[in-house]
Formats: sequence, structure tokens, C-alpha cells
Amino acid sequence: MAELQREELQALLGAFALDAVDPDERDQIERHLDTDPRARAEVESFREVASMLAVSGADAPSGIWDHIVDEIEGEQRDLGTSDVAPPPLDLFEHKRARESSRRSVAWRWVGAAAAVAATLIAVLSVQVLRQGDRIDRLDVAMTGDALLRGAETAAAAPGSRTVSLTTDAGTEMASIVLRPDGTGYFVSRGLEAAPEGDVYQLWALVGDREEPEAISAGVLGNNPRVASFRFSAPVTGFAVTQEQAPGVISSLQKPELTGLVPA
Amino acid sequence: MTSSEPPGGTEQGAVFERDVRESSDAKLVLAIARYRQEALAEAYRRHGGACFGLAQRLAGDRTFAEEVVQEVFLRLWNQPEKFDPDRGTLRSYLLAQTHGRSVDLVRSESARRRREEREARMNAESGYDLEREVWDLTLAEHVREAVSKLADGERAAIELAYFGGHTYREVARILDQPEGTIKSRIRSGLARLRSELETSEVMGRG
Repeated sequence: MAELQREELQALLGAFALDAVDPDERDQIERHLDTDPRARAEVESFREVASMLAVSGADAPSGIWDHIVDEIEGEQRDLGTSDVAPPPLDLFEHKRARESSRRSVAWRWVGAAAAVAATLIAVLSVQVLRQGDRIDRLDVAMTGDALLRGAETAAAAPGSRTVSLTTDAGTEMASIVLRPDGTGYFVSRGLEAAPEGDVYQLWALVGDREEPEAISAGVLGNNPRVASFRFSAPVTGFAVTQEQAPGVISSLQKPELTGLVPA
Repeated sequence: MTSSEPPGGTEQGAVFERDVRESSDAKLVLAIARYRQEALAEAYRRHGGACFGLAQRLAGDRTFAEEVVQEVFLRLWNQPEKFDPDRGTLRSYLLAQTHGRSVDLVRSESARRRREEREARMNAESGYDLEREVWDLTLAEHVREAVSKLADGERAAIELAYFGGHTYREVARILDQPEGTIKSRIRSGLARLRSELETSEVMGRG
């Protein structure tokens, strides 16, 4: 089929939004949308309109949901786990070493995790890889104003706490806004991009303030600006490490940034 | 087990479920990205009915519609980053996915035969009725009013393309109109609906 002219492509935007064009026209329009933000916005607004025509007051059939759950749980069974929470790390070990010599330190598994690490590590690595991958990709999709507005709203909300994440020298490079419900926002304050192939990873510190454990709160990506996470356990502080992509389940790296939640 | 139940019945799970019920669509998708099944259950509770209704309307076949809806929500689970909240609501995204997948399937050869038989029966009865498709209690009045302001030709073209799953060329043949006219009517009709819905401030409601 001949290449369509811009005017012809524009005339087809309504039909395209309703999936009412032929496949070769669809391909050309998709390429056109990549180069014309106004045309893309028009298509998106038409799809929003169409979605209102389709709104129905009917309940979602429960039988379909059961099939969806079966599929998801079957996939988790294939991976060998239904719990994706990474095991905790021994931050106390890190803290002691850091305070004594400032040398690079190793975070180690706490005893309980170490006992099962040998059997779980392969499975968890797969899960962390998958989680890191999707969070990285999600960050790309959600770095717009929406997350930043969410962080600003959270900062102003009653009961929210802000944690300054600083370097060893005390320079603030990022902050965390933590809502009482456990929703948190990571906001960069000038954190530079990690070297190619590395990502930043956020760790939540839980338990005793003097001897906390660290649990991965998510992989932030190579050059994070703003990200959101959720953590339901009481958190005493946060740390950020630099890791090889796509992230790790246990860190051997010295934290780049740390910060304690105000008591 | 269904994940609309609090995980493990714990207090923490109950809190999470309550949070999920109050979460915006964007937050729901973030939670889905973190493998929170409760968040997917909430997305399904909010939008599964509309997706199923649309798929069934296009296919006229419950089994077919169930397969499409299952596929759409599993795709959200596996590829949540495909949804960009800056580009529209989650409902719009899921319904566009549902529509696209349904249309692909109904245009396949085997489905085409079934659809032609079904349409022959429908045309013998009452044909499409766009206004009957719109009945959500919170939006129905505004959407009905907007639809009522469409010109007859615009309404018929949108009905056949969206709920009938026809291409604009097929719509042109069905309505015995030039293809250019149908393209133009679909676009102008959608723009008119958008304008009316913006005026009534229902556009963008999740």
C-alpha cells in the first residue's frame, strides 16, 4: 500500500482509536504517532471517550478472576515460590564495620535467612531479577509529574515523615517521604546516574534502631528521579546501594546514602 | 484462594486491602508491579465488568469474552509498565486492550462466520443501539446526553466501528457511504463526544 500523506493519516485518527483501520494503515499511523505528540494526544482522548461508551454497571464475573489467579499461582509454582520478599540483610554487621574503619564492608545474611539461602537463592534471584526489571521499566513509564505530585502531596500530609538520605560526608543527595500508611516516595536531590550497567537499590531498615536489618524496598534504576514504594513494617531508616543491574538479594556494597527516620 | 481476600487474614493484610480499595489507578499499577495480587484484584473489581461487557458485545460469545478479559488482566500483571497514567486512565487502557484483542479475534476467519450469523439475527431484530450500551449509574446520564447530540450518521458510524468491530471500510459498505465520509464522521463524532463530556466534567474520571 502507498505511503499515506499526513492529512490522510490525520483523517484516520478516529477510526484508528476504535481499531477500525486495516493492518497496513495501522502500522503507518503508529509510526506517525511516534513523531506527532498532538496526534497521539488526540488518539488517547478518543480512546478515553470510547471507554466511557463501554462503561457498564455489571459486576466483573468471578469465574474469570479465578482463572486469572490460577494462571498467576501456577506461574509462581513453576518458579518455586509464592513469596517474593527478599530475605533480610545484617545491617548491624555493616554498621559496626563502617564505624570502626570506614572500609568497604560486606552485608551478610542474618542467621535464619542464611540457613535457607542455599536452596532459595536461585529462585529468589529469578524473582528479584524479574521484580527489578519490571520496576526499572515502570520507573521509565512513571517518571512523569504524577509521582512527583504524589510525593509533594505526601510531604504535606499530616503524619508524614521525611528522611534525608546523605553521603558519608553529610551531603543530602535524596530524600524519602514516608506516609503513615507505609507508602513511600524516593525523590532524588541531585543523585548522579550510576555507572553503566549499575543500578541504585533502596533498602528499608527494620527492627531495633541500634541493630536494624535491611530489606530490599526496590530497585530504583540507573538514574532515578522519583519512585514510589510501599512498606508495611515499621521502618527505622533507609539505605541506598549501587549494584550491578538488575539488583541483588544481598548486598556486599557499602551504602552510598543512608538516613534514619526521625524517632 | 482469591486475592481479593486479605492475605493470610492478617491485620496487615486487611490494612493493605483497605488501602488498595482507596488507591488511585496509578498506585494500583505500582502495587501490581510489586506483585501485589490484591492490587490486581482491585483493578479487576473496578474494570473487569466493563471489559467483559465490551468483549461479549463484540463477540456475542461468553467463552470468547472470558478468554479476552483473562488475557488482558494477565498482561497487566506481567507488563504493568505498559500502562502510562500520563496518557489516560486505567479504564481507558484496559478497554482499549480489550477492544483491540477482541477485534483481532472476531476478524479471524472462523470468528467472522459466527459473527455474520449473529449480525444477521441482530439486524433482523433491533440492530445496534448505542444508548443501550451506556448504563453505568454514575456516568450514564452525561454520556447519554452527549450521545444524543451526535448526528445520526456519526452515531451509526461509531456504533458499527466500536461495538460492531468493523473497519471504516466495512462501515462504509454497510451504510453505503463513501469511505472518506465514514472516516470523517467517526473523527468528528468522537471529537463532539469528547467536547460534550469535557463540558460535563466526566472526562478523565478513573
